[in-house]
Amino acid sequence: MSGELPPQIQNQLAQIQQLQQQMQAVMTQKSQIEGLIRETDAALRELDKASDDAVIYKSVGELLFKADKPKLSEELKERKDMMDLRLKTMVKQEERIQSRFNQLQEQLKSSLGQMPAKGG
Amino acid sequence: MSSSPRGEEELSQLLAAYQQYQAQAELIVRQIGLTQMTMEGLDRALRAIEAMQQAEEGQEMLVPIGSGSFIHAKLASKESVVLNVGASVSIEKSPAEALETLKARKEEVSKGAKELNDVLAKIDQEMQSIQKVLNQYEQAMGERGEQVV
Repeated sequence: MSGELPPQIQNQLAQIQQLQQQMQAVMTQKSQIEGLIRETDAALRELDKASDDAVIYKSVGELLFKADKPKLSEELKERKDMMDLRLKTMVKQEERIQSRFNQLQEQLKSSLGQMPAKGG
Repeated sequence: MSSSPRGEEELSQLLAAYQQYQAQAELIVRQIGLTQMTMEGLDRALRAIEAMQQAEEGQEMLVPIGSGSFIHAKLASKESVVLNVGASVSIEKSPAEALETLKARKEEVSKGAKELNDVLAKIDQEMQSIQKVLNQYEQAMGERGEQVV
């Protein structure tokens, strides 16, 4: 079918497909980061709820190391800030891809409109 | 419902929607499987804490190290349980607190599983109604000696 289409339209279709793949990848990464942020928030809430003398551990691989509550809270907050920043970047990237996608879609529509009608 | 371009367009839209619903349903079934595994894990933890509460300190036991293998151990303390709270953090809690937290988690997971089942039922309903229309197409085309796909 695409063999019958003019090269310009084929090119636009290929670009649209590429953008769709990019969008998929960005959305997957975005939802992973959102999940990690939710997890970190939940852990921070649990740490806040725990008493000051609560025994806290930090897992590294299969091992659990005793940790200092304020220090670990600070570490989690820093980790969350970094993830928030990455999420913002992802959102911007998503918007950029979406806008390019819309632009290409319009171009494709107009290219298809200019195609001579198929005689039957 | 004819093999006119409009009918063909509707047919291909229906087929595409059906496939999309099918893919969504498969994803949800996988998620339901995961929630079931999580529930089973929570049940195991709850049973272990309840058993520990009834055991004596110094009780001989076997600790799993994976692949169905165990090492000998003795219960050093029944005063606390270490619970993973996510993000590589674990907190020591009393058995009662640990039971409460795990039960709350189980309730949350069960609520999520119910929501997933509801969505799956809705998708199933949509797929059935599309299937009904596709059957009507097939019937109409069969009468004219054509094929749906």
